[in-house]
Amino acid sequence: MGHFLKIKQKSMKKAFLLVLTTFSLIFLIPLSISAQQKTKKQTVVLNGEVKDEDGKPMVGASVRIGEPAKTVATDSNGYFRFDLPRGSYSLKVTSVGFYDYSERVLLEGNLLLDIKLIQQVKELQQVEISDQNKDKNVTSTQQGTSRMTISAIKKLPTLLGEVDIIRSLQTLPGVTTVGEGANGFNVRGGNTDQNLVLMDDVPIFNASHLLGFYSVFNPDAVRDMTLFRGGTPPQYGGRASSVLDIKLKEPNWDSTQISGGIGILASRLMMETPIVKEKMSLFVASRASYTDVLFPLLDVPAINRTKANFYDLTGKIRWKINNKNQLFITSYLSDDNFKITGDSLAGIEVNASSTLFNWKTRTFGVRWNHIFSPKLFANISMLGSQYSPTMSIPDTSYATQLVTKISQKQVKADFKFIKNTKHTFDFGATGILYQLNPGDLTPTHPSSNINPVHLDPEKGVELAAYVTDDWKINDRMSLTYGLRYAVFAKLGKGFAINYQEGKPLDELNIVDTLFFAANKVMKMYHGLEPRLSFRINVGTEGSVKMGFQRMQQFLQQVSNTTSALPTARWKLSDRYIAPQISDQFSVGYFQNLKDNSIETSVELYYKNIENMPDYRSGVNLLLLNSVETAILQGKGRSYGLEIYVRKKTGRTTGWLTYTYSRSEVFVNSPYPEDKPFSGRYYPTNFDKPHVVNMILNYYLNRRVNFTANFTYSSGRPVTYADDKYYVENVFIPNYTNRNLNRIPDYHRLDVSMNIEPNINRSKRFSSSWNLSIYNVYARRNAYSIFFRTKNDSLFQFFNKALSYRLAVIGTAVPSLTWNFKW
Amino acid sequence: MEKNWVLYICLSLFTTSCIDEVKLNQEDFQSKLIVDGSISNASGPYRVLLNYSLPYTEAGLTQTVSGANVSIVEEGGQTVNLIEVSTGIYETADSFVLKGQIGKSYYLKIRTANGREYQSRPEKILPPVPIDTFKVAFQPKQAKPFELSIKTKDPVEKGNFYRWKWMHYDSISICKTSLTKNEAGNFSYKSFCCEKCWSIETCSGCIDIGSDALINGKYIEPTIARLPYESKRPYFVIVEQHSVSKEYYQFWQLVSTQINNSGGIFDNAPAQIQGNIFGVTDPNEQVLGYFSATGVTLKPIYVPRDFTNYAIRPPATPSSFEVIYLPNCQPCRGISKTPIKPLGWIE
Repeated sequence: MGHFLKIKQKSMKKAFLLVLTTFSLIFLIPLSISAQQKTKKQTVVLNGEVKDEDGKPMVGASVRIGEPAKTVATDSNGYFRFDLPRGSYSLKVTSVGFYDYSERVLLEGNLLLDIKLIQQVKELQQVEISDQNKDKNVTSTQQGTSRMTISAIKKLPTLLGEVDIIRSLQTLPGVTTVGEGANGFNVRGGNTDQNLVLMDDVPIFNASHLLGFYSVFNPDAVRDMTLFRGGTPPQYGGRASSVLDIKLKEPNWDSTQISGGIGILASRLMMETPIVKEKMSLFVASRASYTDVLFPLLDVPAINRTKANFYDLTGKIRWKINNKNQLFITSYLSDDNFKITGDSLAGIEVNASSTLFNWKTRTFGVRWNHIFSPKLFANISMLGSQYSPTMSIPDTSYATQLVTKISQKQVKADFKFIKNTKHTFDFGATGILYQLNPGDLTPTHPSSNINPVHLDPEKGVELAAYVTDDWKINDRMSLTYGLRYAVFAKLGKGFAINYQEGKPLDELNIVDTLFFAANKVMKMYHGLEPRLSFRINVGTEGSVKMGFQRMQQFLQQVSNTTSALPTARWKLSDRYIAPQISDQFSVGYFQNLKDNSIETSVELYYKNIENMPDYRSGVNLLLLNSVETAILQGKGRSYGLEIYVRKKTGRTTGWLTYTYSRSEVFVNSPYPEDKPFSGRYYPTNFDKPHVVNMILNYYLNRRVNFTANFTYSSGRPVTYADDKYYVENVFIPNYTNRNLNRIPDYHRLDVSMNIEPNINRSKRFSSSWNLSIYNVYARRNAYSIFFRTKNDSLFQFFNKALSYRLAVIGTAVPSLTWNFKW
Repeated sequence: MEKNWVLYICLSLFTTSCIDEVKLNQEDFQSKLIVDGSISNASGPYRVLLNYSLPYTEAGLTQTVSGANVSIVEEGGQTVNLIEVSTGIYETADSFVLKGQIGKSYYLKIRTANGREYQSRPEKILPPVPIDTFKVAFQPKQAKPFELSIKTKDPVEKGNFYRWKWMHYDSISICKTSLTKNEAGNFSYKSFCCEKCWSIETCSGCIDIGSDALINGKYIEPTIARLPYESKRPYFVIVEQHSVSKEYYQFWQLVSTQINNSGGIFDNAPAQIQGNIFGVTDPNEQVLGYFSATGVTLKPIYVPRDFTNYAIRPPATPSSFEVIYLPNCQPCRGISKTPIKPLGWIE
C-alpha cells in the first residue's frame, strides 16, 4: 500500500505546486459560493442558534418545524437551519433536561432566531453519554464514534477523587490501556502515539500527569469529548489510529462565577467572568496537586524521598465581535515533576542516585468563526503547541540535564457549506510546521564529568487539504464521502547518512553523509486519504453502516518500553523512517428499541498499519543520532468486534460493551539479525482480546444518584524467559518468544455516590459531593509479573527463579471530593 | 528502579502488600549450550565453563558438559588445548603456555563429545587503562557503610568500554569448620590449614560496566564496592578494571537491563541476548554465553576503616559452640580459598 507514497525527487516540486493550488482554491471557493447564493431565492432560510441560560451553545437539541414536521439537530455550535417556502410555521425545540420551547414563526424573508432553553428541575437526571438527538446513533453515517459530555464523565467513579477524561474513555468499546499508570491509551490496536489528542483544536503531545495516573485535562474547563476510532472525518489527519477531540467550555456571558473542588490528590479553582457583557467573556481554570505534602506524611522510607507534583492552567476568551464574527482564544499550561531514586528510567548511562523528570506543555490557539451567509460558515485558526520534557541528575560528578522539545505551529481553515437539504460540504486546508529538538545534554555543575551532547534539530512541514460531502441520498440512505490529501517534507538543515547497500542500517555500514542546507527538502512523502461512510436504514429504528478510512502519520514517538515514558523521544519521518499508514474497513449494525430508549450496535473492523515501528534490542534511543539504526518497520494488523447496548431512560440507565479484538505486528527484513522472533506475527504489547465494560447509574431522588463501573479485560502480553544460565557468576534469563505469555486477567468494580446541590435557585452558593470507592472488592490486579532469584554464590547453579505479581492498586481506594459553585 | 516507583504509588495507596508470589507453568523447553570463559593480559590459568541450560523456573544444577575438546586460538599464533580439570571446567594447563598479549585477538573452539562444533567471534585484548586514585566514603545508615570508588582518566580517543570487578582477600588459619549439635552439646570442629591460605570474597551478580560515550577524555568515577565494618583494620581489595570490547559491553548492558526488568510497563522489551558464541555445525543453533578477551589493570588497595568515630559492627555470633581443634590439617582448596599470595598483599 505504501508504494504510491514514494515519489522521486523530480516530482517533488509538482506536489508542492499542487498543494499550493489546492490551498489557494480553498480560500477562494467561499467567496464565489457566497456570491452565487445571492442570485437564487426560491425558498427562504431560517437560521437559529440555541443556547442555555448561561449563553452556552446547546449541541444536538432537536428542532422541529411545520406540518408534516421536519426535524434537525443543532450542530456543535448550537446552530440549526431550514430551507422553507415563505409562510407561517410552528417551531418546537427540545432537549433532554430542558423545558420544551415553542414559537410561531412567520417567514417572509431569511430569518435568524436566538433561542434560549431553560433547564428543568432535575427530575430524571441520567448518565448521559451524549446529548445528541435521541436517534443520532442510527440516523447519522458516523460509526466508531463516541461522544461524552463532562456531566456524564463527572458522575463516573474516580480514583482518589480526580475526574479523569482518559480513564472515562476506557469505558468505551475499542479503547484499552496496558495497565494502571500507563501513559496514554490504545485505540483499536493502535499504539499510544497514533492518537491525535486535541484540546480546542490544539494538539497535546502528552496527556498524562504523574507519569500516567491522571490525564492533563481539567474537568472544570471541558465541555465534551468525541473519540473517533473509525469513520474519522477528513478534517482530521496526522495520526494513524484515532482522534480524541476535546472541546473546552464557552466562558459565561452574563455573570461572574467561581467554582472549584477539593479532592484528596489535588484541588481545583475556576473563575468565569464577562469582560464586556454579552460581548466578551473569559475563564481561567487551575488545578494543583499536593502529593509532595502527602508523601512525607506517610512515613514510608521509600516514598519519603519521592517527589511528585503537577499543576495545570486552562484559559479561554470568547469575543463576539458581531453577529457574524466571533473570536476564541485558548491557552493551556501544565507542569509535572517526578523524582525517583536511581537512573534506570532515565536511559542515559550514568550511575546516578536519583533522577528528576519534568515535563511541560504550553499551548495557544486563536480561532475566528465567521458566518459568510446562512449557508456558509468558516473557522480560521492559528495554533501552537509545545512539549518539553527534561531529565536531570543532581550528583556533582555526573550533574547533568537532558532537555528535549517538540513544537508544532499550525494554521487551519475549515469551511462548512450547506448546499441544500441533501448536500453539506466540509472543506479546508491546513499547514503545520514541526520543530523538534531531540536532545541537548549539558553538564550542570562545574565539576561534572559529563560532556555535552547536542543532537541535530529536526524540522518538517505538513500541508493538507480536504473536502467531504454529507449526502442524504434519500430517506433510507446517506453517504459521507471525502478525501484528504497530505504532503510531508522533512526539511534541512541536517545530515542524511548513506549506508552500504545490501547491508543492515548500522553505524558500521556508513558510506558517506550528505549535508542539506536550511529549509532544503531532505525527503518528501505524500498521499491521498479516502474516507467513506455509508448508511442504509433497515426496519424501524435500525441501520447498517459501512466505512473505510485511510490515515497517514508523519510524526512518531520512538520508545522500546511497553508504555512510552513522558520523556520518550519524538521523530519525524525521514528518508529511512517511512510514515505510518493505516487502512481501516468497518461495518456495523445499529438498532434502537422501545422508541429509541435502548440503543444497540455491533461493529466489526479490520485495520492494516504499514511501517509500524519495532526496535533492535538493547539500543539506547535517547541520545542516538541516527535513529534509523535502531528502528525496524513492520506491518501491524488488528481486527475486532464491538458490541454495545445502552439504556437511556428510566431510573436505571447505563451501558454495557463487549469487545473482542486482536492486534499483532510482523517485522520482515532480509537480515536474520533484524527479524525478532523469526519473522512471524506476534502480539503487540496492548493486545487484549476480551474486554467488558459496564456502567450503571441509579437515580434515587433529585439529589442523590449512584454509579457503578465494572471492567474486565484479558491480561496484556508479556515475554517470559525460557532458560536461565550463568556467565561470570551472573544469573541471566534467556528470552526466545516475544509476547506469547499473558499477565493474569484484569477486573475491577468501582462505585460512586453523587450528592447534587440543593435545587434552590435563590441561593447563589451551591455545592456537591462525590464519594467513590475504586476497586471495591480489593482485587490485586497484576500490574506486572516478574522473576527473581537469589544470587547466593553457594547455591548459584541451583537457584530457582520465583515469579511474583506486582499490583499497583491492591486494595479498595475510597475518596471524597467536594465541589462548589458560587 | 522502575518497580520502585510503582511501589511508591502502591504504598502510598495504603496497601498492605503489593507483591506476592504466583505460580506459572512453562511449556516446550529445549536445552542450550552455555559457554562462560575469558582470557586477559593477566597471567592464567584461563578457565572455560561448559553447561547446558535449565528451564527458567526450575531449580536444579545446570548439567555440565564433559568430554569436550576445548582450545583457545590466538589469531596468527598458537592454539592451546584446555584440560578438563573437573567435570565441565576446562583450564589452560600452565600460565607459561599461554599468556594474553595486548593487541592480539583470541577466540574459542569447542567440539563436544557428540561431535558438534562451536566457536566464538574473536576478541582483541585492548590496552588496559590505569586506575589513578581511590576514594572511601562512610555512610553510617548503610549495612555495609564503606563505599569504595575509584577515579580513572579516560583516554582521549572515543569508544572506551569498561567492566569493574573486585576481590577481597583475607589470610586465614582455619581451613575447615564443621558444626555438630547433639545431646552432649554444640560442637564446632576446626582444622588448621596445612599451608598459607587466603579466603576470597567477591560480589556475585554485580554488573559494573561503563562507557565513555558521555564523558570521553574526562574522569570516570565508578563506585566499585560496599564494604562491611566488622573491624577497624584496613580491608584488602584487588580492584580489576577491564578494558572491554563494545560487543562485550553491549552484552552486559542488555543483561543488566533485563535482570532488572520487573515486567512492568516501563520495561524495555525483552529480547534474546546474543553472546559471541555461534554453532559451526548448525549456524541456526542458539548458543548462550560469552568468551571474552580483556586488558586488565589490577589495583590492590588497603581500604582504611579507622577514620570514623562510629562503633564497629561485628558479625552476630552464633549461639555458643564448644570449639574443638582437630589435629589433622586441611589443604587450602576450594572456590573461595587460595594458597597463592595475592598481588600487593603486605604481610
